[in-house]
Amino acid sequence: MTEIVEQPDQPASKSQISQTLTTRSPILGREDWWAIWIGLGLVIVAVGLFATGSTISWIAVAPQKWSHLPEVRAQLGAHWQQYAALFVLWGVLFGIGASALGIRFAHFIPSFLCVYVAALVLYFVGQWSQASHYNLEPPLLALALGLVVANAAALPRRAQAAFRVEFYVKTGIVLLGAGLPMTLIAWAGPVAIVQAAIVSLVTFFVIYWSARFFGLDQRLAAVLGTGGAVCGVSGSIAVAGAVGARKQDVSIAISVVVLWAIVMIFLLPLVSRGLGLSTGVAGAWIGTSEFADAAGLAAAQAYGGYAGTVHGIAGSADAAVNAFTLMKVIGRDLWIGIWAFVLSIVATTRWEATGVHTRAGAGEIWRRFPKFVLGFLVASLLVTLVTHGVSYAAYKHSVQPGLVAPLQVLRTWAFTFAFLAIGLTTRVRDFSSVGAKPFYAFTIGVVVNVVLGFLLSTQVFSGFWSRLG
Amino acid sequence: MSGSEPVRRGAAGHATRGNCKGCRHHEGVPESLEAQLPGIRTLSSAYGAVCAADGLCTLHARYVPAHASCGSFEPLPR
Repeated sequence: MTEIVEQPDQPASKSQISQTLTTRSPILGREDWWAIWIGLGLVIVAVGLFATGSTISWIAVAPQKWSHLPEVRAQLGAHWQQYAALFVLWGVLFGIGASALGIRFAHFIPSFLCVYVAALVLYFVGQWSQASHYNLEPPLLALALGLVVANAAALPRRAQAAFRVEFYVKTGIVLLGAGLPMTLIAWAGPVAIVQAAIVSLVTFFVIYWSARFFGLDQRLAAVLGTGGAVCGVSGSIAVAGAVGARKQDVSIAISVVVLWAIVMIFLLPLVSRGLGLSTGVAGAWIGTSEFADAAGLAAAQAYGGYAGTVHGIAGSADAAVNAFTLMKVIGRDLWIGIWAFVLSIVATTRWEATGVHTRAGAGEIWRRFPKFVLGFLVASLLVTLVTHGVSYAAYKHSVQPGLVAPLQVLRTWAFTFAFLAIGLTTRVRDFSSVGAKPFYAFTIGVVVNVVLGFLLSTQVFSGFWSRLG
Repeated sequence: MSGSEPVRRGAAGHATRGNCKGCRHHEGVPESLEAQLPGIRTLSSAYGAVCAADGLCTLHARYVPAHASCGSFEPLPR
């Protein structure tokens, strides 16, 4: 029998060291941290300039309302330097981040130029006075355009270098923190956590037991369950790693979650509009029943766009995105590490062994914590402190136009890049064959989730979410 | 078990000679993961913090954390 020796981890080889420095460094090699550096960096610069009587509004340029094409030409003629500067700003920031992740800067920039120009066109379309009449909400349009391009043309790999949905959406969420006062997070956070916890637990167990009823493996059942209950594909892969799921389990979860998430991007705003839900209530429902941050933000931002343009939709445009973010980020995303930790304990102590030995440890909670949420909270805290004691009149007169509004414009740009990238990376031929049983199990969970989320958002907590805006 | 690599104890008490992070069967580079898991980029990313240091075990066809281990450990080429 061989003597067994306890010793620290094996010393890293040269290839390991290289891998660790370039792609595994917890700070340099993870897009969550780069989203924080970029998002929080912009917030700090904005706050610094505001404190000295200046503003970032020159570079935070955005198309204005227009009715006739000559007005678009006039806007571009008057502001082309600002649009060019904004491209340079985003290109450099995201390009540096992408380089640190291992994506070549020389590949990223041309690809990002295409994303930026498409986003500019979509932004202008969204500002057309007849856009809402023709249902041309920029998030949905971006998604649809991306889907058509991705599935009609075979883009070379280097042309796809800037199609980074999560990088953009995490940066946008950090920027969004600047527009959400900490007092609002403290007020609404507990309700969001309660509502999300109810729906997450019910959805997980419905999918898990449905999958088991259909005879599926425990690990696949758990991976599907967290995909529906917590944070979509990210939830599935986090738990897949924690429990040591099969590769095909991950592929199945990706396919079925993406399929339903994209259906929900169109379905939830459509049903909410048909029912005349206020923007806050609809945002809460979307936050409870969408499966991924980027998909949910597309739906919430599209619905927010109905405020003031579609008859019968009460609330402000921001209320939909704010309610969604509170529900999804605070209520669901934040807890993925705990889900992974608990399920890793269950996997190692109760489930059939796999031949690969994993161990459960509380460190799992921090290792899988979605770090970008920290940037969101710090951005909120920073702007809350800066605006502390400012009267409502002063806020509307100086803080809103000089600090908050420009950051909201930058956030909208980041989200538009993300919505385009969702479509551009959704290639039907890439998705694995799901099989009927995983699809049925997940779909049962979707139905329960949507109904329960609707009841909680529109009945139980309706008054609360309506007051958001 | 034999070989020059020192042996250590896996989580379940099995004799192994290192964890997945140091194994040649462990594919943990995000770019490769995204190539092997098509569709992951659509609503997530292999570069996200939730992935920790997970990777694909090309021997067992499983998605495993870096600290996992098994009896088929083979060190990375030096």
